[in-house]
Amino acid sequence: MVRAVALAVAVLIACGASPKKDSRAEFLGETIPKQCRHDEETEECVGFWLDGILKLLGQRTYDDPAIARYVATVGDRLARAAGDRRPWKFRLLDDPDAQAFVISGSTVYINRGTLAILRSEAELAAVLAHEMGHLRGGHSKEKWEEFGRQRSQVEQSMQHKYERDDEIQADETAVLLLGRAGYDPRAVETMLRALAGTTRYEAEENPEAVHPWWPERIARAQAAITERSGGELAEARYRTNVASLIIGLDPRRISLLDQTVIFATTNAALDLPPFESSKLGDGTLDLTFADGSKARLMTVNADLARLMAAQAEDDKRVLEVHHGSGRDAITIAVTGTANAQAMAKSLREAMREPRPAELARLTPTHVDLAAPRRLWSH
Amino acid sequence: MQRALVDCVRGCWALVILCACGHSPPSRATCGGNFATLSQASSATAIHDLDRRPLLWITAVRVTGVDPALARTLEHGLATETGMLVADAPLRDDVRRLFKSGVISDAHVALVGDDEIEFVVTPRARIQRVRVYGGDPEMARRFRLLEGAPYEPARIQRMTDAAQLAYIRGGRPDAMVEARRVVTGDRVAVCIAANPGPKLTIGALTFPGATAISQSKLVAAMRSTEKVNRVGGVFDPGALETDKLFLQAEYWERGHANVKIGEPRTSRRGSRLVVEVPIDEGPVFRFGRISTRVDLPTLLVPGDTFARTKILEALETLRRSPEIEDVTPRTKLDVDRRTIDITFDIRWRWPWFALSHLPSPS
Repeated sequence: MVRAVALAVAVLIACGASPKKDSRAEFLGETIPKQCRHDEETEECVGFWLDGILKLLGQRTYDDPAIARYVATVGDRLARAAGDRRPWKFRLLDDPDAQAFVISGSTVYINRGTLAILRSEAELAAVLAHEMGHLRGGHSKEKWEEFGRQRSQVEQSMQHKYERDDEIQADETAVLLLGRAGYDPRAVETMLRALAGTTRYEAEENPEAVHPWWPERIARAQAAITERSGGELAEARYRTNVASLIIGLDPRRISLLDQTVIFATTNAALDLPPFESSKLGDGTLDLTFADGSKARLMTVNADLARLMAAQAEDDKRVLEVHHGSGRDAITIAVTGTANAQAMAKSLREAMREPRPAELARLTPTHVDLAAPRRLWSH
Repeated sequence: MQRALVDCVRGCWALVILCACGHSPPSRATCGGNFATLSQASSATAIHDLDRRPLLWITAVRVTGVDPALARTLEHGLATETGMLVADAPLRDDVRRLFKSGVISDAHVALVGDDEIEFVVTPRARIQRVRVYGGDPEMARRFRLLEGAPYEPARIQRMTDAAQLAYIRGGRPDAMVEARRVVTGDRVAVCIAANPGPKLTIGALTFPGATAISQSKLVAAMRSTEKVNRVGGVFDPGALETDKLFLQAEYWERGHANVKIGEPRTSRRGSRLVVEVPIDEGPVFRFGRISTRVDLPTLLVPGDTFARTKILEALETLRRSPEIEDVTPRTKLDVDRRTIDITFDIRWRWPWFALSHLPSPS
């Protein structure tokens, strides 16, 4: 991972030289912001490059334009209510975990896994508004400015408290923004209960955690909500717009059907040699063979795959890359055998197109928004 | 020629005016007399009548004084439970827990009826308005986000501390960020006065007392980024605390085991800072007695100049031995003889563990 980050940063730095000459320069399909021409350390510019790093590292946009548009619409409504004229972007990521975050600039990232545990548009707005609160409060910018700086122990301890305050402020901002945007602010509380319900409940507060303890966050949200009422929850609209959402791992990305691994989104398939065990992850398949050798097949961004291949060559590691159709490639890494190179090559050469019958077996699980969810409760 | 002269005179006047403006001290941002300092004292906790009735069984525990939904959340965090004796109930701890939630400004415990415990709490007043004077727009925006939030003095104080620290770390050692408030009923107006002060860069960085290591090597040993704690960069006292450890390590590498890196002293020269980091190098120490039950050929030799990395190398060598589970070094400083005795406490792996306990042939 560290190697990948270093590679990505190296590429970004190399690419960073070009935008100063060409105002319409693009990186990974996005126009490089004007700010990068004048000062690459601006919040917007740092955010742009970090967004690029995320993409290179395989952080994929969820491939359902209708849901992505819907998320952006909700975000835009909040941005208008905030009166904040920065170029907000709301990126829906293809990640099954319940998570949302911001890095820098004006991009809010939300995983599709988060959408699965929400039950109303107001709750979705609450998640987005919390993250917008971090950007509006300058919390992320501060973190990036401090990145790599040394701190004394006293300062570290203080910084931890400040970061907790940032989380509290982001929750409070969410209450405020929801009210202004015409949403029911109580959705902040239910959103927190839903998120708390997905985590292993901690009976005592964890002093190391950046986020305050769930009961404290919920109590604070309730206290902030007390004087605000009204607004819509828009549950039906949420159900309509998010009904096609996939939950869990997307089988179209990578699936193991008997002895065949299918990469539907990359339009590739591979009939595997006999193996002892397999483990399917988010975009990865780990195989162990009888002779102890191991193979990892992974779908990654095609640009990153090229970088990984070049780096592997330098390090004399074994890595074969199959470029199928689409933006992703498949990397094949083999270890634990003297014939790793030959084995990786033979696996790559055995790649074929998936058959219609195989593709028909890949049915993703869609969200059931009528199903009860686990909420943190008293 | 005449025209050029006129232009020159005009230019000079403009320069004089500009200089005059530059020299006039900027007005200080203040909140004015209406605002008082933040009060952080919580009201005293009253636990009415309970001390006199310790043998009562508690039949109900509740929180009142706030919205019912919030009360239920607060009740969740209480350790006092029904079925407990009043004498055993952690009432004071629970009051502390209620305060820790950040949403109340007062709490007391009362006995209702004969056997019900009630935590009567007062919700925090709300911040109606935040005025920010001075400082940068980002800082102002962060404080303005407090409008509508519960008034929590300790948190506002932390925010002002953080803002002030950020200015100082950014090279503004005179930065002052102060919060004040006016309370009207259950509404609070907060005022933030930020005076970042001028940005100063380091004009000179010296290490008085350093003779064994050159100034340039000492600067190179510091791990701050090039913009911090370097000539031309800003002075960051927090980062220097960590840098001092690296300076110390540099001396430990050269036998100065008793080196003392003092507190930095700063003085001004215009808009430049002169930073002095006093160093008391102390004497050079040598390795004294090396105690271990295995040979350490050439790694640590008594009489050699003490060096931290030599000990680390010896440790790594020992840890690579198949018979050794772990090694812990102990050092004993003899100031008079200027020696450092090293003892390696070795934890042996089985079966060497048993063998190591056999009597030594010597």
